[in-house]
Amino acid sequence: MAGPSTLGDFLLQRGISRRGFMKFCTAMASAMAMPPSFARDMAANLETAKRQSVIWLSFQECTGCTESLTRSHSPTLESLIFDFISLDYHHTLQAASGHAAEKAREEAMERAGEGGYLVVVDGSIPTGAGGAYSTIAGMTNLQMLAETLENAAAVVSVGTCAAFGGIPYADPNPTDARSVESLMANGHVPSKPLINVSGCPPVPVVISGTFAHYLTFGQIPELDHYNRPKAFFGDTIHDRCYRRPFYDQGKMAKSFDDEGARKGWCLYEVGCKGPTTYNACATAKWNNGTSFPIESGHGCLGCSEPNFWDAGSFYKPLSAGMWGEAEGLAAAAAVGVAAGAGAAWGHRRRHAQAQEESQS
Amino acid sequence: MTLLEFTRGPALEASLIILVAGVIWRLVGLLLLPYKRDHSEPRGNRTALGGALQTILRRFWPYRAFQNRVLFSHVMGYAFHIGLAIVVFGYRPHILFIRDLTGISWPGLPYWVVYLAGAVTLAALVALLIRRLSHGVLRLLSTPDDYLSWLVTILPVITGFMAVQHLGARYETLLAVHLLSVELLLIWLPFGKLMHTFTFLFSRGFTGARAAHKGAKT
Amino acid sequence: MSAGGLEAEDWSQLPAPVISLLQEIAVRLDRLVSGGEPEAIDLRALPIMTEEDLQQLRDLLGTGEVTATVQAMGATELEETAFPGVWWATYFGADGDMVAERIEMAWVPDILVAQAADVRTGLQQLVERLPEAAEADREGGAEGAGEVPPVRWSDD
Repeated sequence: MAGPSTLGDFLLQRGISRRGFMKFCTAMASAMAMPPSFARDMAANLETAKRQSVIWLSFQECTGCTESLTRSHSPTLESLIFDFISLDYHHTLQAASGHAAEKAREEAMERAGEGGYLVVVDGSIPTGAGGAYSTIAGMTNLQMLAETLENAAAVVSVGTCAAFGGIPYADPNPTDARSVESLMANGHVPSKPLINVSGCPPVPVVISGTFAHYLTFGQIPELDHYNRPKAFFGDTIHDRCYRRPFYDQGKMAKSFDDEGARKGWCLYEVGCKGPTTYNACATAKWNNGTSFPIESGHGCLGCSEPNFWDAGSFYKPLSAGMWGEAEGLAAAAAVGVAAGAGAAWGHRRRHAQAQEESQS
Repeated sequence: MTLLEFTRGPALEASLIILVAGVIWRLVGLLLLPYKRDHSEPRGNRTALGGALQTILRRFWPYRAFQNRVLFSHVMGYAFHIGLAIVVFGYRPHILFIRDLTGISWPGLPYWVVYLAGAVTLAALVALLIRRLSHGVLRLLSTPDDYLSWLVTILPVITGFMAVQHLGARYETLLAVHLLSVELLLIWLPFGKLMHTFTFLFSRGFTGARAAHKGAKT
Repeated sequence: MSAGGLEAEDWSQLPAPVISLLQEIAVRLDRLVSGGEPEAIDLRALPIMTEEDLQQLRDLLGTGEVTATVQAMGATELEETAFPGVWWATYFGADGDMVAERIEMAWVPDILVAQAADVRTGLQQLVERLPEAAEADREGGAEGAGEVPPVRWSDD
């Protein structure tokens, strides 16, 4: 595909002014919690950057992650990121279908060459039953991932499913779903530099901001221990929550319709997972800056953390224990009674024996 | 499974099972011990039950004769026992934990009261350890149980403070470490001197009942 | 010059975040007048600032001589405060949602300055739309096609 060689030329062609572009960089720098001077560097770097070839693989997923990025009223700053990349394969968004679609992927890989393209994965990869739970054009997801990753520069796992396994991975995990990271760790697919952008779905600006960082510097940003960009996953929801002062004062909603809930107090006691959840919702917000779940009166579900679906009830406070029944405790009590009675009986028998011996 | 999931789930369940089994084993074992009846004529006019109750209450405060010598330990002991009770039973997240476990719930205390009680508890525990180490006779009397029991008591207070203040690590790690320290306490409780949580009533009561029979003062 | 409402306020009564931010502005403004680069403070990156704090800060900084709106993928509102060189900049997306809010210490905020690439494009379009003027100039001996035609101010 012949086209403009740099992003600057491309923007010009699309009629996007440099002021609009500078605003994009300012918004990205702000969202990434970068120093404001970063916006200038970003504008300078991106202008001369080449358009990055991107192959987007959708596996066992619900398309919510793609929706998150594209369903805002265009043209938004988030959707501008699609202009910055050459999206060569995305089977939900591309016009081509069938063999033509698969050919687009193969051609993009060939054209970009080794280390020339970025792979984006959304959805987990089912490995049970030989991968038969999800196939595209006769290839299992696992085969397609392995083949596409072979010459990739890096891979971005978008959404909790690709990053940690997500809902398909939840107990009992019938399809034996796996995350990209775990497949790399086991050597099932080639190991490449990895960025996890978790969330169910991820915040739009977190997806676009991660891309923007990669496009600006050509390398992956600083990551946390779950390989998530620290710029977006450096603070907990709780740390940045506007209801935090109520937590500090001990003002808690005790149910969803009590006085405290109406007054907008902290939702810790009704199960908010904000203190253990790292994401940018509290600052970036949702639906074009309208709100985020806690602002709408519901606790955080912790959707950007591993195993969030199996981490106990969404409505159980974090300080509570996390197991089902108290049967174990009843059994323990019974064992205690038996052991105690046994010990006492043993003692009485020895006592009686000693008395017999002394009398005889 | 993350560390926090482990400490909130299997580790917590296992430690509670050990606690329940251990406490009941020791209590049942104690109460079913052969009881040697005292066939002598009762002296004095107190019933066994009255004597038991009297001694249980009487021993909440030292004898006047020893008062000056044990006053420091006594005051510090009260400070940390009351402080600990306020922290354990007055802090909202702890009440939520108990509510989840038992279904029983009560209103919490203001956070500043809990923080103050926690600070008093810490200070008193440290003071008691310093006394134990600096007092020659006390040090000779001390067993590993004394030091271990002190450690498993103070650890949850320290880690709890760190979790509340977000000090030193990420919150989920601090919360997990706090839970681990509590689980350590629960596991050790039935097997060392911490068992006095349950046995102090029986030992005082038994002594009191025997003494009442003999017409002796306790 | 009126320096916002600063003189009227009792500084010891101001919330700590507001005072520290005012000090920060002063330091950066000093760097600018001493020949430094323009700088900015990202207000959304300061979670300790409440809405009231922000409003109080804005009231304290007051309004200066310049207000400007840039329309490029949504509006950007720039307002010079009562302190020249200190700008309150609010960036909105195409849907009217706020995407950034900054205090900028600059001679002119970056986004207000016409960008060379845009000027070149505009110039090209202008030249293309002026066929008569270009032809008229040819008689007068204008040099080179595609060059900028000299602007004629007089009626002769």
